[in-house]
Amino acid sequence: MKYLNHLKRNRFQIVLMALLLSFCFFRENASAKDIVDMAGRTVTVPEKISRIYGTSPPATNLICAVAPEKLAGLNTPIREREKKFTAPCIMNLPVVGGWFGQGQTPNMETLMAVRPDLILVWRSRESMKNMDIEKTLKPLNAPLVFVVLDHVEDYPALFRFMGRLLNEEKRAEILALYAEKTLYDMKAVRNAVPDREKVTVYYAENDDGLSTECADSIHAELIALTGGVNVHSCKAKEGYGMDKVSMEQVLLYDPQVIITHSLPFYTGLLADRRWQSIRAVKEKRVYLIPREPMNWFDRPPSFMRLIGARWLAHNLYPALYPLNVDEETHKFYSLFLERPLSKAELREILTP
Amino acid sequence: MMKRVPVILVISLLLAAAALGSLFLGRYPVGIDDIVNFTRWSLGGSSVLQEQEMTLLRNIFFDIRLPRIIAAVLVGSALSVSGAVFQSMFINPLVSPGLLGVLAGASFGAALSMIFFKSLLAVRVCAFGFGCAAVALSMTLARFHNGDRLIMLILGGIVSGAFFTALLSIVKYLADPYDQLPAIVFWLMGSLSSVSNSTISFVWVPFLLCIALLVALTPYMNALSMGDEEARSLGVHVGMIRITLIICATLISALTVVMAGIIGWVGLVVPHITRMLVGPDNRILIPATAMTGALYLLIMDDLSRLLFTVEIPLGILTSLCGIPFFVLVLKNAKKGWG
Amino acid sequence: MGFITVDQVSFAYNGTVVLDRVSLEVGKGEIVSILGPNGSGKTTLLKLILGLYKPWKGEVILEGRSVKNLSSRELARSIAYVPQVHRMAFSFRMLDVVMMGRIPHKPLFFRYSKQDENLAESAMDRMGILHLKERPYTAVSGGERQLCLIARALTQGAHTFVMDEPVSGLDYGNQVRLLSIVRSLAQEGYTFIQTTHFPDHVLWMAGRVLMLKGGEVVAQGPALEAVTSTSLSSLYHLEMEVARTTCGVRVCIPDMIREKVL
Repeated sequence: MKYLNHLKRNRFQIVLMALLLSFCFFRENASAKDIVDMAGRTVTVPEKISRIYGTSPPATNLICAVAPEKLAGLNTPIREREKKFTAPCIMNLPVVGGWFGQGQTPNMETLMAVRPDLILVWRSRESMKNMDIEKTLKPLNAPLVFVVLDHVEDYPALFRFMGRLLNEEKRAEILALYAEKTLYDMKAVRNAVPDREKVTVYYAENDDGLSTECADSIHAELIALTGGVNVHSCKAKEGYGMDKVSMEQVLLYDPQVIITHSLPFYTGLLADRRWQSIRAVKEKRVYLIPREPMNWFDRPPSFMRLIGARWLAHNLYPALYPLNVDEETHKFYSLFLERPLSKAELREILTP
Repeated sequence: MMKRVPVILVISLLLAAAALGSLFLGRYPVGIDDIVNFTRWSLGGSSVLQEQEMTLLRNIFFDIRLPRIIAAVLVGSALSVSGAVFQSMFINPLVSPGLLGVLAGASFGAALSMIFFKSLLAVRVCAFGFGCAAVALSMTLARFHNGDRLIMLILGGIVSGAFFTALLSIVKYLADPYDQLPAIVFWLMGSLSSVSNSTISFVWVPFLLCIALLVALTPYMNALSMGDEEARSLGVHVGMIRITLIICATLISALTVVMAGIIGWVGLVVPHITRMLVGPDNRILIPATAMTGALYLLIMDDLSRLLFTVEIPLGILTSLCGIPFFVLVLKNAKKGWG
Repeated sequence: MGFITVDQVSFAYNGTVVLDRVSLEVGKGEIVSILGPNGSGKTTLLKLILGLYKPWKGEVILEGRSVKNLSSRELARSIAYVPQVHRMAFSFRMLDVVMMGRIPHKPLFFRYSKQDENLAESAMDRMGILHLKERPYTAVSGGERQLCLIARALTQGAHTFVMDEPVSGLDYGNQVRLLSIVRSLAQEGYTFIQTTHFPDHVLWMAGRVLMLKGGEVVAQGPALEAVTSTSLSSLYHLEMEVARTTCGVRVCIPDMIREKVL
């Protein structure tokens, strides 16, 4: 007798449960969508995304460009020189860490505390690394979206993809158009110079200037993009790069232009007798790559390469690609970083 | 061991030959006629046409190759001499110059300066300063307990070395992964590529003074290697001599780090090789090992800059090449000079 | 006042008293043996005489001057240390080891001279090991190494030799040979202070003896008088007897031998 009553009550509870569940299910379905990410994976993402985490600086920078208010966590603490250009909404975000070189990994607990709706992963060329990242992030139950950021040519498609993903299509379109224009201009410069007359460039890294990248390395891709020729022609190894070369090797290369991001190297060059015989030094065609808030060229690779490309093309072929550097820089920073620059700030960024 | 004097002669001749040869070896192709023209030009002018080329050659010989050769000689001899001195002092052929922490301290100092300061000079000063500080720490720690002096020093060195290595890890962790960290890692791998004449002008005087002092103290080193008590009973001021030896060996080790980053293996194995060739008598061993070390590092540096377009870090080469080298000498030494 | 006087010397190490008010008088040309079980403080006493340790109480006086007022070089020119034969990590030449004895006579920065070499060679000759001068120290026998160390002490120009268990590690033949060298050098005027574990040797050398136990002097005096059944028995906690053989030689006979025989 009691058992029958029990069953009746249970049945009622089951039906109630089923109703609730189906309600939740439909609710869930109603606010999600399927997208195909840049690695070809189909991912279900929520319609409204308000908290995103990028697994490494290039991904995080991308989010900052399109929708900085949606960023949920940082990869590294904000450096002094970046503070000026950081949007106020990002200033106090927690530092989660990320996957970038030297075996770094994020702090999983901080990441969980941040509760991202979506995780943006910079797809590595090593499939093992991608699998590692997927495995590590599984417990978060957040959708993983892979983006391909290797080449500057990918940027227009990238911005548009991000726009669709984050419902910021209008803004993303503006950025994509700027990227397309840049690429178009660069192509024009490349085609206008016959191979034999292309300017030879040496990319000096490290404070002694004796490290560099191979010609086909993505670290130095701006050189080829802007119609220059990287003197260090070799097959690039995966990853870090930074090949060590000897002083004599550089003398042999005798580049017409030297670019560097090291201030000590740049300032010490005048007094260093060993470099005096090189064409670039004799003709004073040594350029310091601007790096506020992020490097315009490389390390980390980011959308700053768009202004970096224009800047480099102008330095390599001033006649072919005239550019009002100040104006363009102002325009770029206003557009991408939403930060118009004063005259003093411009000087600070552009003068060594 | 009857062949002691000829062996030293052979080594010094080899060294001179290697030094001269290295001057003419390099990535930049310099032919015999270039050399002839250059000598003619430097002895009494020539036409303006050649001026540019001659300046280039002078650049190559005197600004690029010569400082590097001198640095290789100084660093190689300093490392092997300080290794031999420590081995003798601690009566243990298995110790190396880093025993009292100088290399760990110098690594930390260099890494620290690469984060806070931006000049090469700062890197050098900090490397030197912290290298010496690490040894000072070892010696202070050794005083805390009244045990066997040598063992206490070794313990102090272990603690100090571990401490600075830990600090180095912290620095690496805090470093900007995009430009500071790779710079630190590369510097630690050891290289002579950034040596210039100005660096050499700072270091050669202390180098030579310390090595001269060490050579002068070699009879005491022999006595010390019989044990503290025996040495004291022979009238040797053990404490004072030991401190002097430690200071000199530390100074030159720290200076090698200033010039070339961390280069291992040389301080441990080259004294062994030399000892197999000339015997353990420090009066002959120390000068001989200075030359063997110089020769060894010179050859290694030549390989480093000549083998491939990309320079192989010196620290890696010295370890890799040292092993077959060592085995070779081991085989021959057992045969002949038992 | 003797040639060397140990005056009421006390010494403690890590809180433990190792020597307690030990006194000893050594005359010139005497052979003094210090006898005692392990831990009795024999080696410590030697090191105090050598000036390697400083006594807590009392002092060591050498030819009227307190040892603590002498520099280590002055001390080295008078007293030489002949340690137990040991293994060396580095094998120097025998001649080089002997020449180290010249260090107390050289200025701060020095090189050994021909004269130093000659002195070393004549000391080695005296010890009968000149033919070994070019050999590495580690390639000769224990007995030859011990002779090398004595030759070094001779080269030091010292008049007093302090030896720590000189016969340890030597075979029987070498033990006897060493003791006879000590006796002949003593006859030439050298003074010997040595520690030993062998009462028989003390009796053979017939010098003076100091018996130490637990840091305290148990007996002292001419060997032939002080080494008795009573003193030895109490020193080693053994029942033993000092007897005279038919040819007049004194020997020590532990009871355990008697039991076996009977």
